[in-house]
Amino acid sequence: MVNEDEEAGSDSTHFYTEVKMYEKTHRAWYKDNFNLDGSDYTLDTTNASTSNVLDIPRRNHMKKGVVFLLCLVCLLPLFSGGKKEAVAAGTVELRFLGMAQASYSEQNVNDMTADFMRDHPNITVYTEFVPYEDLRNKTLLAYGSNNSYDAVLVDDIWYTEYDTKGMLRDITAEVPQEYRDGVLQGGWNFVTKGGRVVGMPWFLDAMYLFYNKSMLAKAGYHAPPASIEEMVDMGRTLKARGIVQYPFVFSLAQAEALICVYANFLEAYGGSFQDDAGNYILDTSGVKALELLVNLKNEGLLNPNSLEYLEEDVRRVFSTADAAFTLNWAYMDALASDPAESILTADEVGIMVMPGVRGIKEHAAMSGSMGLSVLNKSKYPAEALEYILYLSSKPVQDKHSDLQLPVWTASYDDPKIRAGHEDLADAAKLAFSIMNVRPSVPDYQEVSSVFQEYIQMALYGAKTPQQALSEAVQKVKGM
Amino acid sequence: MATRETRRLSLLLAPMIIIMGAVIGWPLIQTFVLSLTDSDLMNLSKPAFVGLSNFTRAMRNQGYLDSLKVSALFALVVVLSEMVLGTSVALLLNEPFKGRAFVRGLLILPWAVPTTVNAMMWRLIYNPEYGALNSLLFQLGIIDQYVSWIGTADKALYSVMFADIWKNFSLVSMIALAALQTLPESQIEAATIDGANGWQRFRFITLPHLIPSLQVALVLRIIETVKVFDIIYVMTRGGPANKTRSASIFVYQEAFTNSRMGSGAAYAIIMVCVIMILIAFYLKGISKKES
Repeated sequence: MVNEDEEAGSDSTHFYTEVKMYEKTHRAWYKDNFNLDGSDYTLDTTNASTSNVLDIPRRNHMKKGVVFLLCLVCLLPLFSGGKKEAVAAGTVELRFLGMAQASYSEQNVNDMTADFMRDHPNITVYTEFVPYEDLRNKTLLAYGSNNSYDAVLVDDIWYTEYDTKGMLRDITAEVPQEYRDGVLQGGWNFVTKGGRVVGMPWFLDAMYLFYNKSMLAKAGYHAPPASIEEMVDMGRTLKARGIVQYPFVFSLAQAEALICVYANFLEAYGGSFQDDAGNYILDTSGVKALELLVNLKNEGLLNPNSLEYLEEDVRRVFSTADAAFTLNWAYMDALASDPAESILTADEVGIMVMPGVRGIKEHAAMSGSMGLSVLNKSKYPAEALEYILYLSSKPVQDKHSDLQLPVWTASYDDPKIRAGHEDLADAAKLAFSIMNVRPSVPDYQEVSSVFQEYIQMALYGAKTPQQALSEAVQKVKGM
Repeated sequence: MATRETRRLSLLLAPMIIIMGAVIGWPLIQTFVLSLTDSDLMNLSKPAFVGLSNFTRAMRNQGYLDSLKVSALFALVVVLSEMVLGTSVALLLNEPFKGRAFVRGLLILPWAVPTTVNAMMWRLIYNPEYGALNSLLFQLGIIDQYVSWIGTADKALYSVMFADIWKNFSLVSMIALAALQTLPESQIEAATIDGANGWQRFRFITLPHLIPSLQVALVLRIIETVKVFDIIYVMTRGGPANKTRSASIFVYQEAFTNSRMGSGAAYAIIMVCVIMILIAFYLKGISKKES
């Protein structure tokens, strides 16, 4: 009878013996079976040792490993080519880069694209969406790395840069006459460079002044402000009467939104970023506009959190009745009184073009329009053009006009389109006729970054508005 | 025999060396070559050679130097905080108590959360209108009005640091906890018998035992924090007024926003050099630990 300890001891001794045998023989096995002196390792099967049982599982493992690697190598092309092979022969594949935004939303664009593909079974469009802040960089990077998109969404401030870099396809001769006649002139202005049409206007937009009617009514105001001065006075009254803690909220985070807000006030004061020769003159023409914003903050009229807010943030603050005035794009018009998004009713929300400074301007508006363009590196420019013409066609734009007004003149007089958006449609008509643009220069993005930084410094009180703008202009000149 | 062994080892290492060379070495060489040119995003194929001028300009660029300071401050505060917090938590979790295994399991959660998710989560926590942090501090009477944590110049960087510390202190804790579990209990018992108090036991027995492991964690975390990008990009994008713009964010802006790939590559190479120095310390720390 063998007790358990003895059995265990016997097992471990047996195992130890096997290990030692393996250690002793495996070197010899390698020596016998591999040509270690040659240029490569070859198995000599004729001399393969089979005497040691431990060699068998080892070789089996090796075989399994080799088979696994071979399978992997064979499968790799399947993974890499899967997508292409899934597409039927003769089908054109387009890649479109758009923006993740409220309007047109990803769902809107995907719906439009699905309709387009149904009408064009030979074209497959892959859509991608990124936030506004990444749209330009992704477009440039893809284009520069020869993995270009076929069609992209372009902000009006980027058209000069893209065109200077030769990225945009000239579609002057291919734009149908009905588009030329039917689309608002303001749209053609920003997609036309040097007489060449390099994009299709997709939406015209401006920052509008949204105001809370019921708050104004509580303070005894039954009409919106007619000037900047009146608007500030209204804000003071609202605060003094305790109707709202911070009457104003603006998107002043370090982003392009800040420049858009500032540009509206700049416009209201009759100022501009550049003179006729292209020199930056904000240090003279733009100081009062910045002083106004700084004073609003110092007086406690401007929500201090504005300095971290983008457009969506200010929309939420306004929608919870925590502000009486804000500036935002047209998309906010529908959302500000949407019960799912806001506590305000349609009767409480007012929209208008921002008033100007008394004696200088009646109204001020700054363009925030965007267009669709075909990139020069597209392999299928004709199909890409067909796609962007479809997206900007009147029937498609009318169909999706609940959040974004069409670029077609006729749509503004269409009662069906205007229904529910009368105030916005009227404001848009006025804005499109007077709106100015931010600098249209190839290095706009870098210039904008500098102004964002220095305007924020002034808003924080780290520099006076005059100091901040003077230093910003000097820095821009030195670039 | 030794030659054969060397050959065999070389052969086994070769695939790894080839892959590392392809995915790290070659891009690094290309980046260095790019840094000697005036290449921009649209002109990657025909750039002009400009020598070391991108590097000399980098050293004079106040924006870049400021961003290096932000990275250095970020690394200093975050890593020191993580070391202290991580070690303290490890000491607590090394003590026996009911539910210890569960708490140890929880510890890994922050570290397992993806950085971008963590950044988005903290953006919500810091929200100046409805953020949980403001609500908590207000109800405790610590603040009398809601604060804009990531929108104020003097608070933004520290707020981002706090979010990063919350996510990564558990890594230090886990490393320290693993080291603590190899500390012989007999040493502590002997010290106790000799009359050492709690602080003395920690100071003269536990801490010296932890130091080699903490050195490795320290260098790893310094390397990570010096090149910090994602959490800042999601939370503040370098704002307000560039107060949170780290060197990595600066490199990104130079290369992709300003389209200057040549100088962007130069800024990146300078960062690589800084990180290489830190890696040297790391390797030294490892060898010390092994010895």
